[in-house]
Amino acid sequence: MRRLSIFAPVVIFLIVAGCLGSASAVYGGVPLHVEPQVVERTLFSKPSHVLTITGSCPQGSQVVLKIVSPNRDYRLNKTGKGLGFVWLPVGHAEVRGIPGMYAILSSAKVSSILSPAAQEEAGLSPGFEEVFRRCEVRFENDPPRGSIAGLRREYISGLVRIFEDAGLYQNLEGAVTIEDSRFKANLVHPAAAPLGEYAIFCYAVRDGKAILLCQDRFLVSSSGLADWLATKARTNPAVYAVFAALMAVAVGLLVGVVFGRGAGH
Amino acid sequence: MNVYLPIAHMSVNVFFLIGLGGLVGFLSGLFGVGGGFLLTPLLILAGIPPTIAAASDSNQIVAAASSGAYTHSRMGNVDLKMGIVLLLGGFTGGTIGVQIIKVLAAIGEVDFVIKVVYVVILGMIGSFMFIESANALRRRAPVLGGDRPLEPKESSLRRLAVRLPWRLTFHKSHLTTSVIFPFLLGVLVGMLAAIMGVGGGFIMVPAMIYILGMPTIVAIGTDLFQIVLTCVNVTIQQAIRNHTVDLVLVVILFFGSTLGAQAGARVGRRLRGEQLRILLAVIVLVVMGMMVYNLLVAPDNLISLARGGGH
Repeated sequence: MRRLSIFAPVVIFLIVAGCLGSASAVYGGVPLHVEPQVVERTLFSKPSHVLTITGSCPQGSQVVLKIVSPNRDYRLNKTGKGLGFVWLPVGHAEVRGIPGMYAILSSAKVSSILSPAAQEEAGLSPGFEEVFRRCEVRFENDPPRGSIAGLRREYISGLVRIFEDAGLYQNLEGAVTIEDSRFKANLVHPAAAPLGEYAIFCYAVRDGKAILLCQDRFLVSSSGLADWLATKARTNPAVYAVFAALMAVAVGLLVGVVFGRGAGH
Repeated sequence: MNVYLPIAHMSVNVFFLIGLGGLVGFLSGLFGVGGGFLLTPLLILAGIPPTIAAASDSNQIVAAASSGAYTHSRMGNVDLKMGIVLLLGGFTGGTIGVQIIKVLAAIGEVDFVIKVVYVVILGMIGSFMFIESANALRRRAPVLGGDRPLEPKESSLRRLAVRLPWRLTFHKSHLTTSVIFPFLLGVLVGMLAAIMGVGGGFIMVPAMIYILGMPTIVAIGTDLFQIVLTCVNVTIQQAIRNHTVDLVLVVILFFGSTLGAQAGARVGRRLRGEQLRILLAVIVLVVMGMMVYNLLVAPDNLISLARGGGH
């Protein structure tokens, strides 16, 4: 029994190495590449960056790419009708652990190459069902037990819709092009997307089955003055606060002095 | 040309922000209001997260109001003594207002109360100012036609205030009244400002004109003075507690708003009191109309990102 436990890691290592080796052999040894690998946010960054994702896939298969940002928490209001005719916030909740950006790029219509069950299993549903399953919703006031599931879905759907409108959640069918077992896709990464490490999952789809071919990561970070300000605001808020207030007074007075000449008595 | 806002984590067109700041700064200089009740919703419409819009707006108002207050003080339009009394009342009222908000939040009625208070107060102030100023303009045209500013008639509240103890003479405001009266006014406006989440300039200026009986231009200058201190306090609180002051956004808005405030103060000098009041009344009524519209029309998405505190 003891001998078995000693050999277990070795056996696992050999199995993993064998799988990776066979994958490289089949798909040409160029699993996945993203360019640039680091997206830097500076003070003069554009509203969005375009990342190019390339790689190889088995002959005759379709490709689906899933790009997921780090998770974040969001406080939300729910609007409802009050007094019969006015629209008011009637509920509050916090959605926790939801990716701030989530994109599914595919070479074909996902619903035509994968059954709903296969989509769910691989987390490739065009309706972002994986997000609905994984995140947590905390209500400010506990709703009746029977309505929790419906309300939970309502809050997450509303947030996903906000994200879709901001270009943060994307479902682009046909965005991946395949040529001679090589695929390529452009990902538009909005400046409003969260900072941090993003994961890219590459699936090959054939005969109604999705197989995770490979995965990679890219980093979104801020640098220069933008990074310095964000860090100070977080790590030294008192100094940042006093600096912000004093600077505002100083700039206001300076402008007052410059433009105020001759304005007085 | 775009700029990345490091706290809001988004990229925005610089000239759009400068234009927005300039417009609101102009109104700030013209009417002596902070402009928070206009700029915060406009920033949110531009896609800035609500909490960051509100906090950064407070900070930029400090600059715009400092600039406007300096210009008005050079013109002799700031009643420092009155400003301090109102400010003390405002801080007291603000503290009470925050407690009221906590109680309302606990019973889940805060949003409803805020919206209703907004519509009622804006509607009352806007309508009253509009009717009074329109009457003043009508009276002036055939009878006076001169250059002496028409100020509102003395109210019964003002006559009562004169009889209360602790009377002080406010030379700049040309009035002698009990210190209790402006202090209580400050408390009332402070409470409303805390509940409504704004600096309160658009409540304070009409209150100073109609209830205290201050000359319009002195009310505007004095209000700018108290706005500077109120918004310094809000900026510091927001930056420390919520980390929501975006200095890059603030600097760009400064640029527009400080220039706008100067232009506003200069245009204000050329307008008569009743003309200023009728313009402010129209803006207040337009904002109220937008709020009523928002209350009555179903939103596209029933779920929205939660809004932070305003100023």
